[in-house]
Amino acid sequence: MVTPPGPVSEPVLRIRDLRVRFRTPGRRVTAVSGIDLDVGQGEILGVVGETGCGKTVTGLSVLGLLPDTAEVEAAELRLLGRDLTSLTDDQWRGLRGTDVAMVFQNPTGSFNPVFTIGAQMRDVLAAHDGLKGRAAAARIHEVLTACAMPDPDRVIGSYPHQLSGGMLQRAMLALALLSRPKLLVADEPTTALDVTIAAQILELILGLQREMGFSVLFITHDLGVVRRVCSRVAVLYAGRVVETAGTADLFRAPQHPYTRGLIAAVPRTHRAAGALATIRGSVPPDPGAIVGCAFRERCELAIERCATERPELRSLVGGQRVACHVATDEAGATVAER
Amino acid sequence: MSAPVRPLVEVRGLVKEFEVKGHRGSGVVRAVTDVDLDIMPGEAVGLVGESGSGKTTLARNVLRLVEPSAGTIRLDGTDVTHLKGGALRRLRPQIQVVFQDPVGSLDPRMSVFDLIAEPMRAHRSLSRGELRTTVERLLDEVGLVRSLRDRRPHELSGGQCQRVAIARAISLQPRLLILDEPTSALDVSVQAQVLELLVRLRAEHDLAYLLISHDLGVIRYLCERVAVMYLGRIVEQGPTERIFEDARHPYTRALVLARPDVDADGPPRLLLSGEIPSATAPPPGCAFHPRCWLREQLGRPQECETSVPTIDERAGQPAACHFAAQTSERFEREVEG
Repeated sequence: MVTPPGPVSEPVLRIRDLRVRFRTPGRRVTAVSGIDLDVGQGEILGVVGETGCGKTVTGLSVLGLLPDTAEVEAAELRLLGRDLTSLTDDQWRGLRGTDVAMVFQNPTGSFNPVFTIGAQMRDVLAAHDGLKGRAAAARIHEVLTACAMPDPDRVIGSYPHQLSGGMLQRAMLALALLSRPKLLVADEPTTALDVTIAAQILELILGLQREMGFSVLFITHDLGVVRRVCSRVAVLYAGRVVETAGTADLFRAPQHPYTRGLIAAVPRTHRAAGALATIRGSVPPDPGAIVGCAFRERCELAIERCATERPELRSLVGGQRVACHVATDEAGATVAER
Repeated sequence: MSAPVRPLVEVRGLVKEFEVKGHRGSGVVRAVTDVDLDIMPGEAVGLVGESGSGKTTLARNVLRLVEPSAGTIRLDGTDVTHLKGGALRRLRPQIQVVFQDPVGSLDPRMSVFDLIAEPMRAHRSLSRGELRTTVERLLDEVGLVRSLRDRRPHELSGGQCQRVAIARAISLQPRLLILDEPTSALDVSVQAQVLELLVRLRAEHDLAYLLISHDLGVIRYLCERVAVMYLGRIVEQGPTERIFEDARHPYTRALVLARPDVDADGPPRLLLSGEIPSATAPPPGCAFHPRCWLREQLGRPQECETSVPTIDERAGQPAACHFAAQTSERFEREVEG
């Protein structure tokens, strides 16, 4: 068998059978129902899917940032080999910022509005690295410069509301990278930005990653963004991974009917508008209650077996993995022919 | 169809200013400056630009939700720039709008039936029976099952809410539909369904669209003409194909290439530096000059900082750029270099 394009050495992040449910008055809602993911050394893993597929919940669980109403279970949840399933609040605090850091979609809401950017960055350095005074100032200046921040000195003395969305996103990236984390969780980091600014931030993240070598769990719904920045992709649907592949393979030969539909449904910017494929219906509200394949009601290839038996992820020749009863056989052939 | 068709909407020299009061005193911000825009009957025009470029303000003027500070807006040849009271009310059915937030733009206490019936109750005198049949027909048209008629917005998905908003908007048989980021809050798979619906409705009702979207793929899919705004001005407008494949304004060139391509690998062919400046302190001359790659390539000519370029096709200036005639050729040099 060909070596999968996945991580070779011990992964930076290893997730096995992650399950997250939320307690709401009167019932429990499943957000994630058994996800496996690996993020390798220096790898950018894209996690794609639509609203409610569990991508943000997965990201937050890696930082222990889920609210108290969440019930998290996992067969394995390891960061740099360390078990995360039974950490205390203090242990989480020791980990966040130093081993793993996060960049959110909305930079405005992620800073404290009453402190300057500099003060918030100094707090982080003091807490994580014990750096103070001139050493701290030098490090802050260095990171802001690395994040291509025009006029870092002015930014250090600015309050969040004095910066544009693009500048704030650079500042948040700088804040996340202050203590040199091994893993960056980036949750839709460019979604709220204008296109020309989003393009700058994407190139910046790519450049910083190449330079500093950290790994990234990149959460997004935008397939163009995935293609540009990610080395590998996991496609989520209704709380489960339905397909994983190297980025090039995923776009050349998507195997899961959902992945195919998703790629075909994107209105093209770079070529003349052709017909747009649509996926009928919408995402099921509570994936926990589903028997069989969660996608079957929207799937044009569904067979009887899809209603009764949930498809597990299985490897195809070439390393692509897909959770589908139908696509696998057909795909097995196409992959072997290559 | 050789006889010249009169534009449905004719905007000339439109200016919209807002007074701002800050701690450093008050002043005037120009959100829209000297805009000329025509929309032909049944035509879909896309309006693109980044936040703060004036897209929504322009649309609100066309809708006459606000009154222009200067310039004129004509609908079917009739000046509607300063209509008030009953005359403005009679204009409303002709131009309707669909907003971005499908859930938030619908009254949470109203049923689907009442939401769709509301515009007709306000503007038409229909019997209960007529109202019911019309609402049912509209439900069919936008692809909603009739059994949803008693639901409230929170019981619907985002895509369903947007279909309700569209049914509401077409209920008065308007000539123009303003679509302000109609699919931005929707997932890709649902977006595709709504876009398909919009294509179908336009063909069936001979509707004109003014579509605002930051998603250029959506614009390219739906529109035959595109106007590009930058800091309150339209810097270029033309047929969709030209805007995407052979834009003459250096900003348009960068804008259409900024979004990562789903079908190709590699970095963007052109990456703009800097950010869109604040409308409170626009740069002198061409507002785009601080970010302009063409100006850099040409060795920073003086005009860019001293005079405001305008669109003048006859003078060989198809876009609001002093050097628009050179954009295509210079672009090739820029992306090769």
